[in-house]
Amino acid sequence: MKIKNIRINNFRQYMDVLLEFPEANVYDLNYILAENGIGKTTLLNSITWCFYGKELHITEGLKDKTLPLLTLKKLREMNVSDEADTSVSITLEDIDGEITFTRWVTYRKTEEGMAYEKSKSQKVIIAPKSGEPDVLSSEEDFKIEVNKRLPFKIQQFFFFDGEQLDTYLASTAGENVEQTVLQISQIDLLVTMEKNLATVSDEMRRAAARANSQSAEINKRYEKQKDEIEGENGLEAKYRKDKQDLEDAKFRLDAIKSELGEDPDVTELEAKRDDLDAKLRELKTEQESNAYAIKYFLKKYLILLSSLPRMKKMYDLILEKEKNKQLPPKYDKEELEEMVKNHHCNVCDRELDTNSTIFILELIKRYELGQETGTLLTRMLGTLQIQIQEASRYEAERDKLYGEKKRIEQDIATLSNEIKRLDSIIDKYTNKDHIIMLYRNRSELERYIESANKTVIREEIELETAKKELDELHKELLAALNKDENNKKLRKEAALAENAKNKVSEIITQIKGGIRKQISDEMSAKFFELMWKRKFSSVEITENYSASVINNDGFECLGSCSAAERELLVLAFTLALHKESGFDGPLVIDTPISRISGDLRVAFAKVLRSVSENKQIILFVTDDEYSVNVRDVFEPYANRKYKFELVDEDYVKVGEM
Amino acid sequence: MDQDRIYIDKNRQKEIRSIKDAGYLSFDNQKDVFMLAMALGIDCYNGGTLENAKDGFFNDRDLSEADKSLIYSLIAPELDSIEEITNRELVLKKAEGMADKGFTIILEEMSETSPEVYQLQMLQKANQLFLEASKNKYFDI
Repeated sequence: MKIKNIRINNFRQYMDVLLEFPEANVYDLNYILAENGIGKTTLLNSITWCFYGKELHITEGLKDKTLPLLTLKKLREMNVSDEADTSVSITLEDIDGEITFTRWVTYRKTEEGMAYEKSKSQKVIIAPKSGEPDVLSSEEDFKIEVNKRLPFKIQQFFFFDGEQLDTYLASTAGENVEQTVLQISQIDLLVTMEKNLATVSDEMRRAAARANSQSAEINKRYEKQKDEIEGENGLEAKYRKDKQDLEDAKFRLDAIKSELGEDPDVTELEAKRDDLDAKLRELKTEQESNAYAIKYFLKKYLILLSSLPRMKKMYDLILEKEKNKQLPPKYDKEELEEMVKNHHCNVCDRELDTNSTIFILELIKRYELGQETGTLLTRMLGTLQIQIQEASRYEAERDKLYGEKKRIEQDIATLSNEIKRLDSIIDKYTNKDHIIMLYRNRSELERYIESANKTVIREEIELETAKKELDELHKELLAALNKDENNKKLRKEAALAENAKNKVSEIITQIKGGIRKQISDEMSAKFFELMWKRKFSSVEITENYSASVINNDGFECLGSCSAAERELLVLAFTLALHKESGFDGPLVIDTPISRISGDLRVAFAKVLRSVSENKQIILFVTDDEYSVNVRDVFEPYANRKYKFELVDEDYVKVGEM
Repeated sequence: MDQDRIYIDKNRQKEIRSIKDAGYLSFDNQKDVFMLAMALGIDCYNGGTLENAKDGFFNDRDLSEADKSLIYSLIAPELDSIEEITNRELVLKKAEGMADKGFTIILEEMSETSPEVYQLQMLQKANQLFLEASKNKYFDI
């Protein structure tokens, strides 16, 4: 069965749209290309509205679904009291003929300019290949005809959004799968029977117990215990819920770990980078000090080494004069001056004549100059010696400073490279906030799982203990009832009802189990038929209705599967479900590959193309999804391609590609 | 020395004063710049003194014993006799003349290149001077 056409009038942004999907040659692959925000999900909702009278998918930007369905542009164009229909008509086609489902609402424009829902209706036109068409107009007939082909209870396996495709098997730990299997098993009658028999059994046991005070007391305790276990907020419900939450958390943790891969925590990386930045700043300060020291060193040694020849010459000169005793001797100047004053020579011990006095005065004068020079030269000797020794240390000091310079430069280069490397890793994350959030979630989940594990184990023990107590009470109750001869008939009837209920439960379990097994086998076959690489050894729906994927190393790996692999698993499950349920409908998928990254998009696009050989597929894809590689997979094989454009942000224009 | 100031050419005082903080080398004060200028001006010094108007550059109290020894050593060969070394006024005038030549060299070299290249050039110069000093056994004392 396939969708032959969809006609939409005045449904939100779709004013007048006709999408036709003719008979395909090989691939019944159809797609509609539209940018985000144009209304792909609204299109999906128009389909579910037509079939089921409900918009079943969350539409971005249209949270308030209480707004009238009528296109706003149409409403603006209408005059007060004018009427207009919002309608969606879908024609399905199979080997027997065609069937067209039409649902519409008639709106009238009020004086306030609002759309008033005047009436709503629906009709089905069944047109067999031979014979006259039949028209059915009642809501009940409409529902029956829809449910014969696309049952509401499994509608989610015909009309997907991509998000659901990714998470369906993952997030619910078997609950959804079990419900789905139950829904397609067509054992509703048995389930109702099981419930009724349980009620009858309980009522009879209660009635039997009432006849005897001891039995009544035990029954009271039994019922109390049963309620504690099976009641709405009982131990079993709590245990199941907590266990499911724990499984969900484990799955989410695996998914996060898988998404994060080997990449380190961005927060840690940024902290490390900041640390390196601080070290780099320290090194740069050290480098500045070293540069200053080098400039100081150069100045100092340029002075010393440029002056060295003259300093050495002076040094040697002083030494030589000292050695040759050419420096003026030390003498007592005051004694000479006293000799002149007293006109008496202390050396000759005679009176000084005029010539001798003049000679001594000249000697004093000459010696005065010589003494100053001598003193200066003598004083210079020490400092010159120190400076020459200082100059000789040039090489050692140079090597130390320039060695230091080189080391700092190397350290800076190493650090800069490390910072660059970290930056390149950090910059790879186009969405750092997302990665940080993943790490935060990972930590929270790890903490939660640790604590929830303990809780679940404790609850399991409590539940087991409570069940044992219930069994004991049941035995005690039966024993008490058996003692009472008055209610023999009631006892028998209660036992019969309980046995019948247990039998029905068994049958239900068997039927469900059988269907589960069939779906599991079919899913496995489809999965391996469509899978692009051989890294898994088995997939199945386990006895507790959870999906299981085992890798070649023998480990469970559903949580670490890529989005593409998870989507493939759901797709395989869906195909199996279609086959086993007998409801072989089309697949309409909104944004099928938006959650898949890189090369896997192409791999999954090929899978969808391959599936379209045997099943009609209608995809709503965004420009982002429709990359060159994906286009190469779809375009040459497509049965029908449409492109949606939003006009004046008001209504959608449809064109064929 | 009656002179208590060391002078530079007033016409070039702005450029000469800018050497200290130009970033090519590190100087503690203007006396440092003067000592370097003297050292670099030795080879092209012709015995002259400052001829133009003069501007006080630093106080001679800033000169340490080591600075004085160096100045005397550099100026001694420019004197008629060693006895003139005690003539502080004469020595300082010649020191100013010698430094003036050095300032010219420093300013020229600095204007021609970046601090980094200048430092490399100065390093090569110092290496060369050290090699020559070793060869001439100037360190043998």
